[in-house]
Amino acid sequence: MNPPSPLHPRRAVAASGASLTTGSLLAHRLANGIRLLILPGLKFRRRSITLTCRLRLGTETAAQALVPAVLVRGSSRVPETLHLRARLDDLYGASLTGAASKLGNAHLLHLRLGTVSDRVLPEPVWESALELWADVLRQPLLDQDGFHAGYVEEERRSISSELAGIFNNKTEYAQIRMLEAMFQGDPYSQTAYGTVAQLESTGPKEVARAYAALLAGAPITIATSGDVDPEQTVRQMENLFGDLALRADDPYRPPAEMATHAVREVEERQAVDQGKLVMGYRLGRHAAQPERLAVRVANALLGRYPHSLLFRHVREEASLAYYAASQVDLFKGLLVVHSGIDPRHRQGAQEIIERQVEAIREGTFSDEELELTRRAMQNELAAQTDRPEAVLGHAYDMDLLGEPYAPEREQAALAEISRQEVQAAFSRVQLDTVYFMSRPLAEGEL
Amino acid sequence: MIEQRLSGVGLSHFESELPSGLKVSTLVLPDFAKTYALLGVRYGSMDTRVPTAQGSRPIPAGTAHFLEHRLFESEDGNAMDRFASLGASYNAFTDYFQTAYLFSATSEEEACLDHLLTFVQRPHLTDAGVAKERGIIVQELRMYQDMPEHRSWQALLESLFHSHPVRQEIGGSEASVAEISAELLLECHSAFYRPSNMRLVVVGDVDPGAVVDQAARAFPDAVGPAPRFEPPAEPTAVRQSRVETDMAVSLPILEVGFKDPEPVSDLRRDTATSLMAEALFGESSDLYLELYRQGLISDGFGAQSFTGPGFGVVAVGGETVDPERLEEGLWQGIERVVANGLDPDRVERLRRREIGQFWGLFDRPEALAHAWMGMALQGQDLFQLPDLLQAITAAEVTARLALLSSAQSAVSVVRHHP
Repeated sequence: MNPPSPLHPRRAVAASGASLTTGSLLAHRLANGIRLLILPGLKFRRRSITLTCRLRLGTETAAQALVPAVLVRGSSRVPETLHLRARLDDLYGASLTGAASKLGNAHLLHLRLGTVSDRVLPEPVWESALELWADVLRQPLLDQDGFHAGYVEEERRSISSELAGIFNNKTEYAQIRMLEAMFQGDPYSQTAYGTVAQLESTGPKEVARAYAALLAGAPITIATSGDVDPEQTVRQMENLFGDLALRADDPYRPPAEMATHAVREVEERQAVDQGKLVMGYRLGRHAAQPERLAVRVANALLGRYPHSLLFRHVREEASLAYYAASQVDLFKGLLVVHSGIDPRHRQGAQEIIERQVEAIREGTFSDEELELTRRAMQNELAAQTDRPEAVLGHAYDMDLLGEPYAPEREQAALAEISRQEVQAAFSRVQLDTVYFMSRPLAEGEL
Repeated sequence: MIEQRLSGVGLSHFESELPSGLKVSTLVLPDFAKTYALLGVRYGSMDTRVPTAQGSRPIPAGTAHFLEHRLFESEDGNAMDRFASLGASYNAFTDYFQTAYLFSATSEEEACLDHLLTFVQRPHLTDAGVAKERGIIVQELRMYQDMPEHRSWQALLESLFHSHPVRQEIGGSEASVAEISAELLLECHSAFYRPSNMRLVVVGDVDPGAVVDQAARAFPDAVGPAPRFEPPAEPTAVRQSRVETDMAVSLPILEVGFKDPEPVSDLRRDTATSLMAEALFGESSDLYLELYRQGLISDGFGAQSFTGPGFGVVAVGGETVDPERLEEGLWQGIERVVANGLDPDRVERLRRREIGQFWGLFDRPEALAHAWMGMALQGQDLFQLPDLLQAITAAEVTARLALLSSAQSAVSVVRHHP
């Protein structure tokens, strides 16, 4: 059930959007090292282009995240946000969005343009929209201190208030608190928008510095989809970005091995009805390893679907939770289980969750459970071709690992994956941190 | 079966009404890998009475939602298992006026559709199953109680309406779900899950004729009409003009809702209302940027127009550091626009923007199917939107400003309790 609410979702975390694919993905590299991923085709009615720049999480996270947020407020040619947005509305609701996301300890900045395809509209809009996109990227609005002070301040305040507001979403808050506890001293503990403290010390100069770093050689990928002429796109991108400095050769580096220690427990008391139990595990595996796919299957078997072990055992059998699910970040080597439970049954829920992780390691899941998981993943992979943003996102990850985007190969690998491989994928999994938020419990409630 | 061509995108949709009364709508999306199917029942949380020999009697809040949860239980196991074994993803949801069941598949589409059309007709309701589900539903309700945006919205509807059942929580309360029995669920199933009260929407690279044949086989016979929703007498005035909710939040929420004193089902009027709300409060408006500049709103701020049988609401708001100043800023902005009128150029730009958004829907089969179903179950036609958007005049949009009267409004504030 999903009642309508006037509260829109939070700032988009990653580039997403829409466009097409009947053709296959083309990859190209400009002379200065900028990567192009082009997904041409006519199946879709939208067109998009996203520039993604890869930096690192660290002391500059907030300044970096402010770059796309401030860029989309206006350029030196269209300085007023009001005018820029009027232009976009006029172009049949073109969208120009800036966002930041995390991929392991990499910090990704996105600037995305989406429009309806020219062939669907009464008049063409793409070239005008592309001009605005290129404009905000290359002709930012500057004043003597660096980036436009007013826009920097407004975006800084907006992001600060969103960070302060994370507690309003208890599910998200609990996950962030678990990450903070698990990754103390590691910038991975930050959100993609940095920390409140970082934001407080970030101004126009810091944002301008982050922007300069982006231009000076950070890896850039431009991904586009829809009614695209690949050759024309390559020429256009050469014209727009060919003058930028040579890109750094910054291949993917596997995450550092996480230290082994006794399980960390964090408890927080808040005036909430539902308890939130979040468990962080060290995977002992990462994205560049051949076991990557088996890890994803193991995680899906554990907690991605309604037929997965967590949903079955924690929710359906024990009626302890409304949700119980898991996710992996292979770029960090992390497995997270999260659930919303009756706080009085915390111990029981935790035990059932630990038993399910154990079941995968020991191979006590059924052949049928594995088969259902395999089919669900095959279905998702096949359906991905309907969503260009998903294809391009997947292609980006593969490109970062230095591998081609090959969904057919992945389908074949899924078909063949064995229970031994799935078991082995979790062989190094270790519980690291348990975070639990609940209302204060009276004695005897536990 | 009637084919309707959408010349803008070069696509067609197909409409039929079967002898059983089931309506079938199909949109063919060539080359899409995925088939998305949605089976909707015009039965939601607003349907608070069930027929009896003498007339009707009230049922506990949350019954439609409870039935949606329990309908997955079948005699030979769980209906989810069958979808899972076919490799499909599947789900269901309940809102104010509908219950809907859905799947998405890239293979075995025919078997999935058969299953969807069949399992909703075969309730297997036991007292033990109902008792177990209650625990899960109570957890779901508690989760919503911890969501400030949900609480704010709920409090707003309770303030705007005296007796219209849209003011009830979709899932009911812990007390109301405690009163729901297997027997009651069966009674509601038999009353509302009738083909004449249902619609199938299928979007994907499918054969529309084959979809209709399959649906006709699954629903061969008419069963008679389902109960008609009779909106209760609802005063035009709001029930209370202000409500405050205390809970654990780190950022307060302010929402202002306006109650339409003359709610009617009219797509043209609804579209004009949405354009008016977007013109005033959308992120390309003066007011939005002014409030943003003052640090009173962030990206989550927005307005929506929400209409249904016997009600109409425009609501605007979001998280804010200072609900008092935001409220003041909103009223000033509204007064200014009401005094000066809307800029016709801005209305024109928003018209173009909405047309773009409409065509963009055809790349998002799920969103398209949901919008289609939601409107069709209320007797409206999604595909009239492009023509309507072309035809609506700035004067019509401006006329909808009348809705924003403080006398017809309620303010909902959520704050951190001390």
